Amino acid sequence: MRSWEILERWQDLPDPRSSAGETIEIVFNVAAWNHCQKHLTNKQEPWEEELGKELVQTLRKGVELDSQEGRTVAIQILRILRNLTEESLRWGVVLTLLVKCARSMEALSRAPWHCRWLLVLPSGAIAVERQCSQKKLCWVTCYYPRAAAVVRNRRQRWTAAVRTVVRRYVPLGGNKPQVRLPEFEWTVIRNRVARERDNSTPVVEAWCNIRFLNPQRWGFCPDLDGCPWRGRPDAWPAAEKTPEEKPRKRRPQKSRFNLSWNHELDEEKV
Amino acid sequence: MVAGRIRDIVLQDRDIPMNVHGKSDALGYLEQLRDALADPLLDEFDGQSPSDQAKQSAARLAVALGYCRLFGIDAGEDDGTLPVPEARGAIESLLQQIHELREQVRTLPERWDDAADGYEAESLCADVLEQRMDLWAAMAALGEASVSALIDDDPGAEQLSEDLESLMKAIFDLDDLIKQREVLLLLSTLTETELLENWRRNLVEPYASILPYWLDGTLEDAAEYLKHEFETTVPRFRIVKPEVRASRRIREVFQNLPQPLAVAADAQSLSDPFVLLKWRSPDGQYLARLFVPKQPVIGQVVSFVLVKLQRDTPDGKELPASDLAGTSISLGGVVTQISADGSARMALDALVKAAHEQEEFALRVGDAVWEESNEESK
Repeated sequence: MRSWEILERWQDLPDPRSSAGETIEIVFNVAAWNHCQKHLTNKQEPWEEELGKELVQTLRKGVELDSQEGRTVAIQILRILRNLTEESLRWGVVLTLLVKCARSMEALSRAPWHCRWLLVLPSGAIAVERQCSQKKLCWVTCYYPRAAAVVRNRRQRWTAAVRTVVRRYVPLGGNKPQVRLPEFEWTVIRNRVARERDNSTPVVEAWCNIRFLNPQRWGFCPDLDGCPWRGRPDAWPAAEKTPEEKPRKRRPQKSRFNLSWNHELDEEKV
Repeated sequence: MVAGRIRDIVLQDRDIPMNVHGKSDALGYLEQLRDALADPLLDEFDGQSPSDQAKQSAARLAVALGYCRLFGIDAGEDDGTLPVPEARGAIESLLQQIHELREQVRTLPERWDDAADGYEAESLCADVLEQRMDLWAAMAALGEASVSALIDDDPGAEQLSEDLESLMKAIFDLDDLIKQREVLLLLSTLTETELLENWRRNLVEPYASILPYWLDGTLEDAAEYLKHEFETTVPRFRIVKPEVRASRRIREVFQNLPQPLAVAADAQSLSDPFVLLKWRSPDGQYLARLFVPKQPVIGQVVSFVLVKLQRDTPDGKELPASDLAGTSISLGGVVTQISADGSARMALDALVKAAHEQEEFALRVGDAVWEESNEESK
């Protein structure tokens, strides 16, 4: 199948920008599927827990989309990804930002901006979408950040993913340093050299206008001055569903060791 | 209003207590410690042979506790020092993680090239650097555990010291790998994010005075070097991969056009006076055609013809894409609108200029990128 061919269209997905029940569409094409397979079969990423061992093992064996088996596997996996995506859009742990790139610093200022969406899925994986039009997104990739992948407890993975995103893009500010919700016009990446994705040619890229849709879902507190981040987002029911996980009392550690020379000197004096 | 402000201040102070260093847990590491402490697998250390998973849990605890030390976070009732069995288990797990991290570092350049998107590429770099930072944090907690065990005359103290030495050696070897030029250049792309500065701002003494190489300006220097190289030598690095030859060809069609003439050339004198370029919409429903004259004239305007493919009809008929009327269409940043008859006109000299100057030379209709098509619609 050719890379531009569409595998599935997910229509009627909730638009997290709207409180009036508007919907958006996500297009999943063959190129995205081919790329995502590398992540879905990566043993460092806990996809088996979401997709099931059997499906992932079939993928690892290698299946062609043109075959009946390949098509069946893809349909099953895409159904699960769609459910995760729908839940993410409904809950609204979504970030949008504008990106552009150019072959020279000078050309960068004239280059057009394009919108990217980042979705934190309830599994703790991150999905990246390219916005094609106001109501249509195109799936680019999905993967687990390492910080989320190593967390054993599924319900803590998405918070680990949220933390990595916030620590990376939101600056500490103020005399009493706090992470505060960035202003809309804020520049994330002023200009940096990168390699062109499909060309191995160096390019320079810029990112701006980062927006945490539904900031409270990310752990920001809109009720407080400056909308600071608190490190622990509200519980997400869809991420908490694993039945065997029960609340547990924290295990005490050994009392903190504190090397206090002054204290020892005081004792000597006595 | 005043009451609201006071409530805000009270809430902030209650939620994020300040410590003696005047710092708070603004980056959420205390929550990470609480998550790590709540892991039931840590109970296995009460027995004789904790599992590998339990050792991983101990490693996560060591990392989380270490961040509290690096950032001077007061963990209150959750604070403590790692007992020897947990510390040794953590080291064993961290050694395994270093082994895996070495592989990640070794393959970083190729995985970076293979990333689907700038965000994913950046995440690959962040994954590496976050793990290296985790190791620094873990060393702080494990060093403390080791000193505590020695002072307490813990029977496992000596073995813990030896384990810690092995871990340090493995970290030094890992650093040799990370400090390779190509890896450092890739990691330097993170300097434009807030990650490094956020870490730096949160460090307390003595850690703030002994910055490791990823926080001491090395990566910023690498980023500067990269920018300088980019601005001075970028054309020499251009390599065309097979999969982009098609899109490159479109750009080259415009780049290689001769200077426009003042009057139209005799079309009959050219055996093939036009180059036909075609693009297909991502959903495969539309096709765009553009005839580019091989000998342009000054002020020439070219027309895109957009059609909607009728796959359901037996003859595969196509209709003017009038439903796209009013939608913006751009090539290399030259923008116009699609007319009611599905056509769109652009100045040829603007396209030629864009082909020479613009980084992106993709056809966009609305916000969607259309791919070059070598096929005819029927």
